[in-house]
Amino acid sequence: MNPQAFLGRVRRNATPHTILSVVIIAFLLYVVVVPLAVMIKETFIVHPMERFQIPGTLPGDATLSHWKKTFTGSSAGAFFFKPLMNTLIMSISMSILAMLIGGILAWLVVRTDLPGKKFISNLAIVPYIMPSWTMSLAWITLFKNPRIGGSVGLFQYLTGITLPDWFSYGMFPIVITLAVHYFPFGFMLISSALENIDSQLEESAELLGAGRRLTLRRIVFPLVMPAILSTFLLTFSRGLGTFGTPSFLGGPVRLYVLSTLLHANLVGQRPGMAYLVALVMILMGSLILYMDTKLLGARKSYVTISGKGGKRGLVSLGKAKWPVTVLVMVFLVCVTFVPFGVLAIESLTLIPGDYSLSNLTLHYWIGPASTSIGLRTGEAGILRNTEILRALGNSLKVGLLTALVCGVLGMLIGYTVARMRGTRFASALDQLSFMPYLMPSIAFGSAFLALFSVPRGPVPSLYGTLALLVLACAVKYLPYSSRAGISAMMQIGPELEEAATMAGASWFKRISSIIFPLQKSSFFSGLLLPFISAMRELSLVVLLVTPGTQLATSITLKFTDRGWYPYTNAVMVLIVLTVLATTWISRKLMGTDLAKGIGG
Amino acid sequence: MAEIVLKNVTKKFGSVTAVDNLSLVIEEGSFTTLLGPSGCGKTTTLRMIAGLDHPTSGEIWIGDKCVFSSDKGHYVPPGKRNLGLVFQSYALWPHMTVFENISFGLSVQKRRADDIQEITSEVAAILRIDDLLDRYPSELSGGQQQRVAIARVLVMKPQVMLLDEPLSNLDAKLRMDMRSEIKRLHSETGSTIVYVTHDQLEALTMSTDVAVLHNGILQQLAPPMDLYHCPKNMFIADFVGNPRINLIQGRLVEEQGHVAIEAGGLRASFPRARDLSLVGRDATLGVRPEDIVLSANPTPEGFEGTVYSVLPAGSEWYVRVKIGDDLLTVTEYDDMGLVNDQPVWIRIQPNRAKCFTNNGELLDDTGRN
Repeated sequence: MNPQAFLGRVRRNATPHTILSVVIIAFLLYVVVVPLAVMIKETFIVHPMERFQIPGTLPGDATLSHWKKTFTGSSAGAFFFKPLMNTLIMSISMSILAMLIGGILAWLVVRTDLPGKKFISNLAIVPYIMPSWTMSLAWITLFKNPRIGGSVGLFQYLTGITLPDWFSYGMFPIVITLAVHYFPFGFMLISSALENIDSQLEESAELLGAGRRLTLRRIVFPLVMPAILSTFLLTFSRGLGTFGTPSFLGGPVRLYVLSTLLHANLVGQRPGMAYLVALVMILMGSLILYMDTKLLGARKSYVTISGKGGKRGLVSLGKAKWPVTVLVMVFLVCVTFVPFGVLAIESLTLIPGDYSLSNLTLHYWIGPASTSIGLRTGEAGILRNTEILRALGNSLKVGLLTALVCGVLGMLIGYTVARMRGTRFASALDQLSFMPYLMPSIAFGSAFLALFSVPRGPVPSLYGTLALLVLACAVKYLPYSSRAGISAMMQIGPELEEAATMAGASWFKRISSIIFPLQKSSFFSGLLLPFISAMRELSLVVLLVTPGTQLATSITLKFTDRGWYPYTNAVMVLIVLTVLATTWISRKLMGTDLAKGIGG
Repeated sequence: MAEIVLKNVTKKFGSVTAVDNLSLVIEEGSFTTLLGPSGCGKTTTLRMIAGLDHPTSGEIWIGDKCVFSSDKGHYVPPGKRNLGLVFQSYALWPHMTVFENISFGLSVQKRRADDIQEITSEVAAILRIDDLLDRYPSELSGGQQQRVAIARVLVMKPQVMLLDEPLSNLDAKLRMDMRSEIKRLHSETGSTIVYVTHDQLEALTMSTDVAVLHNGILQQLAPPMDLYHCPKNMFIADFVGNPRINLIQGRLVEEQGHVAIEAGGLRASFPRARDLSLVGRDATLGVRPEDIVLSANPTPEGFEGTVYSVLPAGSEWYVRVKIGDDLLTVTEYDDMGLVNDQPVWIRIQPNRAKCFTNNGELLDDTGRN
């Protein structure tokens, strides 16, 4: 090719979306793929604080000792295999439980004559909107036994019965509280799958003489099976990376899962082993992603083929109608109002464990710093405590910035993927932006720690800055917004932009007067999920915060460690209120439906 | 108003060649239709003329300006080619009113507000959508959207108008109306129109020239009636015309010093085809349904067959006739009261039979050689 022709070709192909895609792919490679390489390297070297554990080495030396100690040594049981088993038991049982609850609820709401469906649907999403470990804090407050000292829980206060350890702490409450947090996933995914089944499919079966039960078993169930499996994998991978709940409920009985082990390794100055655990978690996450796309990919498609959806007869619950309604309501109240109420009340008791009226106080909200009142903490109430207020401010900042970064990136990714549809570039970008989705949160956090703790080339060390938290959150939640952006952009045919091109409009003009106006509503509603996620995030940021960049969520750890639950609970109440209010406002203002985004 | 010239244009998408070494001259002021089945490269060709797709190699000229050349690295962006494109889906911007849609191009050019107002109303009046200017596209019928899409292009006073299957989303009745409107628009504006369609009837009724594309290769460029009566090859003969041409496998024979074909139970001779070297080869006989005369009684040169089925279509009847192993379609304009399995005799109208040699080309019966 002659130089003229070559230059012409370069000029023609240097369209805004090709340039954009190159930039975005480079960015994603740096924040998603490079950390993996760094982490792998970290597992083979001696770190400064490890040289006494590994005699005769200097920091920076190559070593296999992390691998040996984790997988083969005499301590491998405690340092890897037992937590791994715990993780599997925890994730599998809580996923099954969450799926069962969500699936049954979905079937009741979509397919039966259950009353109050709208109310039920709204309430069923609330547990997911709350921070994941809200439930575990409420559990401790309710069912605490004297094992960890301090006061006893509300249950023992009222009944005088001392609960056994297995009920108060450890695997049992972890599974229950996580299932309660994650069942909305299953509820939303399965109910939308149920709604999308073409009623003609069921009608044909019924016309061929199949009874209702047979139709359910042979037609409906197989059709929603992909959604059920997908829910299971999704929930499982979330459970893998969750930190708060196993930390609060497993800590008192020394029950470790991979996420808490990772944290303990880092806190205990064993970074090499910590990164090894993180890599194992990421490997598990990738396996799940692979299973989700390969095993389910082909089958998923037929659920989305929705027919006319026509009106279908609802299953009459008959005599069971009211008992079922009451049961559902009681359950939902137990997983929404009760934990929230318990936390709120606890934050109002001066001496924890004493629920008499005379013990009510606003001390932990607005009281002065004092070493003589209540818990004698010397900390001011949360609304006048500068440290906590700064953490709250940081949370808001991180939430807003994350939402903005996600929104803009999501739209740009959506734009480039839609424009370059069918090319290898587009699918690379699509997959790359989805990768953080199934990376276990805490492992992803540790990857960022590895990447940004020291300056690398032109990239400064971001450790200790809010920018690092924003970056971590933005990349982690990018899948939400890139998926939303892609699907929104796919609905805008390329001709709409091409028509403007034909009229001579520049790229900027096309974006500002055609693409953005058409995307406005999905752009703004796409901000909600990253904001909420960042506001209630703990697992991802727990390794990245420093005293100066504490977030509202991470600062509660400090109080929980010292047993100052009223502070923790008051902060939690504030977080939950903020998140619920944001959801409610954006729903009123923009008709944003959170349910659409969560399934991803 | 300008001539469009494509020189050796090739477009590849990955390993697929969408347009293969296409050279084509679209004459100034013509209404040229790119016709072909889906995937034949017609829309790609149109998009390359528009500048939305870039040829892998070749040159494109509009008027005396080279707008694309792979060798010289020339490329004029779509907005500077002075042409307008009407999209198949109309591509009206749903968030803008009809007025904003039509005047968008003018506002990009930063024209004065009263200019914009004037030109827009003028064009809207021509297309009879002047009472719809405040509406949004979603509030318009398909036909109205179509007019807005055309108006949006017309305000720019383009040298060339490109239309990409503009009628395919309309119902059959409206399509008929719009055909005549667009044809009229062509004669009124006098601009060059390049029109893409897969509908052969649309191509025949509207165009001054039709370019038939197949697998990315130009098959024939000719005025509609030439195309219908003298298709260069079997693909065109089969693609153009409804109901389809009857094609019967046969063999070339000699008949008094010229070539004839024997196919099924039929025979047709081509007195001016004298290339006797072809005799003995396989060939295909092509006869259009309206070129066959049907008779319920035996006729001297008639070939005997039986009625397979009768399909009345209002102004005409399509009769399927079984001759030997072949089924032929015959168009009849009178009700002959035929019943299934009744014996009939058919005759091919003189000089209407076509013969395609085994490479698919039309048998040369011009007597030139």
